[in-house]
Amino acid sequence: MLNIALPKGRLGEKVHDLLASVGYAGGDLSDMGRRLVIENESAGVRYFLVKPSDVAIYVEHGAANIGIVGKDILEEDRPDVYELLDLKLGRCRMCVAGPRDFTDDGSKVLRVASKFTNIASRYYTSIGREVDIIKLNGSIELAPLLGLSDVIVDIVESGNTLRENDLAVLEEIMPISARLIANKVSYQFQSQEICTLRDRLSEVIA
Amino acid sequence: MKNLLDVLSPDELTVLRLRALFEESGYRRYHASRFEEYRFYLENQSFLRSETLITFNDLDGRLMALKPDVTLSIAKNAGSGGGLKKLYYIENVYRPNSTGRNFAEICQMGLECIGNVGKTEILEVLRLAYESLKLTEKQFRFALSHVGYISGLMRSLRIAPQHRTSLYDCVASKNPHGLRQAAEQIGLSADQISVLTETSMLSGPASDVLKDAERLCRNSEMERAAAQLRQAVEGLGDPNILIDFSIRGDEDYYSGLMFTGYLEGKSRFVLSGGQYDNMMKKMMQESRAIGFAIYLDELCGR
Repeated sequence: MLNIALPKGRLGEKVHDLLASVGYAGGDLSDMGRRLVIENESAGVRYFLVKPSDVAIYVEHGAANIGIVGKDILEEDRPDVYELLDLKLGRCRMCVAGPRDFTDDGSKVLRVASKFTNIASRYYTSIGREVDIIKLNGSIELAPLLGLSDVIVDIVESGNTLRENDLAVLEEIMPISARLIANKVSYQFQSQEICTLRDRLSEVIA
Repeated sequence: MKNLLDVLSPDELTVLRLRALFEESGYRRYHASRFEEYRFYLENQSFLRSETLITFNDLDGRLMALKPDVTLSIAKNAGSGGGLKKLYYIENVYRPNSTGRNFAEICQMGLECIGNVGKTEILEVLRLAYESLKLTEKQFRFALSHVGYISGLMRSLRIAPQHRTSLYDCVASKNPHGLRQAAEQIGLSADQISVLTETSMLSGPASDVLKDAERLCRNSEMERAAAQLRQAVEGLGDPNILIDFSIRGDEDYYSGLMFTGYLEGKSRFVLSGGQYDNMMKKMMQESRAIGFAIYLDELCGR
C-alpha cells in the first residue's frame, strides 16, 4: 500500500484526476471535507489531503511514502526527499514584482516582502544585492501599495492580480510546477511500486 | 536477582550486540574528548552535515566547539604512526535537530579503520556495516555507491568543476528533469545529456544494475569504480544489495566506495559511511581510511 499526500485545493484535484487516469483512483475527493483519508485497496493507494506546504513534511518524515508538491515549496523548504518527476501541472513562475515604474537604483537597502523568504534571500544573495526581507503570510501584493516594501517575491500565475493593482513582473526567478516526491527510505523498500506509478504518470503528462 | 540482560531495553541490547560484533572483529573502543577547537571544524565545514555548532571560549580564550562529529577527530588524532588502527566509538555529538531550530544531543556509534587499509580491510568494514543492519532483526536495505563513478562520468563529459555542484544536487535527489535542465544550461549536447541522465540515475539491486553500470563506463576511472563495486557485492555475497549513485559524498573527503543503510519503517537512513582517504590527505596524514556511523537516535527512536 502506497501512502500518498496530496495538496488540498485545485492542484490536488487535478493530480488526483491524473492519477485516476493511470489506474490509481482513490474515490470522490469531495468526500474529503470530512474524511481525512481515502483508500483504494485494489489499486494499492491511500490518499491524504493536506495543506500544500505540509506535503513535503509528511513525506520527509515518512508519514506518506510519496507526495505531490509545488517546486516553490521544495525550493523554499529544501526537504530531504527524492524529486522523481515534473508533472508539468500547476505551472506558474516565481517572480520579483513591484510598481510598474519601479527601478532599483541600488542607492539603499531594498525592502522585499515575501512568503518565500528563503527563495528571496538566496536570489538576492546570488546577485549580491543587500535586502531587508519582510515575511508575510498572504496578500503579498498589498505590501508595495502601502509602502511596507519596495518589491515582492511571489508566485505569478496569470499576472491578473498584479495588473489590477498596478504592479508588474520585474524579474523572473524560476519556473514552478508540481513535482512527485518520495521519502528516501520508502523509495528503497517500495521502489517497484513507486517507480511503476512514476512511469505510468510520465507516460501521460505532456 | 534478575538476569542483568533482562534489565536492558531493546535499544541498549542493540548497542551491546553492536559492540560485541565490533570487538569480535578486533576493533577497540576509542574515547574522544567532548570538544575541539572551533577552527578545526571551520576548516572541514563541507564534511559536516550542518555548519551550526555550539561554541564557547576556553579558559585561555580559544574558541572551542562541542563535537558535531567524531570521524574528523579520529582522522586527525589516530591517522599518524603507521600500521593499522581498528577503532569504534559510542559518543554524543551536538547538532541542530531535524527542525533546525534547536540543538540536539545525538548518540552516535561508529567504526573506523585507518592506516594500511587494503582490500581485506575494506571488505571487513563493509561486512560489519551490513551485519550491523542485520543484527537489528528488522527489514533492511544496504546501498552502495562509488565516488569515482559519477566524478568519472562528469570528467568524461568534460564538465567544468564549477558546474558540477548543481548536477550532483540533481543526482542526489534522483531528479532527472532537473538534471536535464541544468545540463542544458551549461551547454551539453542532447547526446551528452542522455548519457549523463541514463548513467547517473542507475539504481536498484546489484543483480540488475551492476551490468548496466559496467556497460556504461566511459573511462578508466568509471571502470575502476565499477570493478570495486562488483568486488564489494561479490564479497558480501548478497545480490539484493542495492547500487545507488544518488548516495553523495564530497570528493574532498571521500575517495572510493560509499554506502548507506536503511531500516523499514524509519524516515531516514540509519547508517552511512565510506572510504575517506582524501580526508586523511587533507589532515596531512599519509594513510588510507574507511568507516561508518550508525545513528542511534534513528535506529532506536521512533
